[in-house]
Amino acid sequence: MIFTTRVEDGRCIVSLGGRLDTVTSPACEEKFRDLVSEGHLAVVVDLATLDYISSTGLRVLLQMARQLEAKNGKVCLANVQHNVMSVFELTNFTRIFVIKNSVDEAMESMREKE
Amino acid sequence: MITVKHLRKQFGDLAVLKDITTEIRKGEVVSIIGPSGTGKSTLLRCLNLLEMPDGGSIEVGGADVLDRKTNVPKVRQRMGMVFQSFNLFNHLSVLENLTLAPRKLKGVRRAEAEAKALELLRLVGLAEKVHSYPDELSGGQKQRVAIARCLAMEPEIILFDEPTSALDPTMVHEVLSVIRRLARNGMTMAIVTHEMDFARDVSNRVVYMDEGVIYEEGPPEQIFDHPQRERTRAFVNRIHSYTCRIASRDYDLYDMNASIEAFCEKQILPRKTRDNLLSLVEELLQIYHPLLGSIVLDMTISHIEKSDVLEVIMESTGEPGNPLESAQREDDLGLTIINSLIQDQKYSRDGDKNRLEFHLKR
Repeated sequence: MIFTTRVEDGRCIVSLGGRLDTVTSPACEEKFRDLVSEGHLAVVVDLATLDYISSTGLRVLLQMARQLEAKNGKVCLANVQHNVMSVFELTNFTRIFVIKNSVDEAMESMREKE
Repeated sequence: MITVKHLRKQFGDLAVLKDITTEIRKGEVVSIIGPSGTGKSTLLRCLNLLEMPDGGSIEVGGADVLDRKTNVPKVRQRMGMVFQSFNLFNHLSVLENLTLAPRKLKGVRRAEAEAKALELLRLVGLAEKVHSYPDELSGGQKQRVAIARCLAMEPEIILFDEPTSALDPTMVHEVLSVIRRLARNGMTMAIVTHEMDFARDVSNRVVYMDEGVIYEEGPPEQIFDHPQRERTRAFVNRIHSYTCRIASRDYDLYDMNASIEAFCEKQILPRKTRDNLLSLVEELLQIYHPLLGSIVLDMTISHIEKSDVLEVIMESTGEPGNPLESAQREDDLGLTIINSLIQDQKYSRDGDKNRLEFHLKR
């Protein structure tokens, strides 16, 4: 699993790649937790290179979203690949998360809500 | 006609026939099927003593062929054999191949033997090849001559040892047609074959052999449509399986994934099917996760080639109950994904195990 971060315009862009499954989810969950506890409350998760997500991975994203919500933060997902989108649609994640086609659109969406 | 009891045959330390008991009745057509190396050809070769059994008994028309007093050549004359590799006499013409045995062994006069040979060649559709030599014939033609040669001795039973296995697929049909005609005419036959459709059509009874024993036998409808036993089912449906046992929570998912991917590649399954299978396996293992350590879980993934169905079976020890319903879950995300990937599921209690069976959507 790839987990890299950069900060742009006061927002944290997380690039999440590879697999988010039973094996990689615990580490990913910890990294998201650290991110929130460090004060990053506006998060864009770039899923351009995420090939696979299981239910464990979905819970990590949910957990991250709940942690942000508890601190009045917000999250937007971007560049969701086809097979990951299928899982999102199946599990109603498309109703839970704001999903945009690119990081730029996600950033714009966050600006509009501020 | 032929009664076999507790037949055994060993080659060195290898027990090829362990305990064979069966009979072939007059007018029956018995197909013998099973994996390679399971003793089918050896059984046939024991019947006419091309191989000498190490134990048991064989009676042909009431005569014990293993009795020293029995005139074995006379018994053999009552049985014809057709081999995978034809075994024609290459230095003799087709006509000579057919007339040699009747003239030498039964004292039939040349003219009578030749007339009979011609009649038999017409029966197998090769009258025009009467003066040809074997190396001028195709594989299918050679085998038809071999069958005619068998018939020239007027056998009571014909043993066929994989009569089409050495043939180009385009020639299989012509040989099977001849055998079908013999069946319609009431010839008693025992046929070792890998042609399942043919065995289903032509046989009165099918014997499935596995590991040197008769594992299951019955009418074709039973063996091919409703096999009673597991290995018969796996063989006739060309089921290929991958199994693994998960006894603790420390299983290596990626190692398992690699094995499953290799299995899918071997079965030439589409990538999408492979991905769905991997997803299903991971989600199922997550369902079982709280139980691992206190139960033993056996997972079997089977590709049923005949129907192109992919099946996942989870068998677990522990208290009776459907793990999908009884396992503690924080949400239904995993179950939602599972239900999207399968076309059906079935729970049953099999002895002391809980058994869940899933069929993947195509």
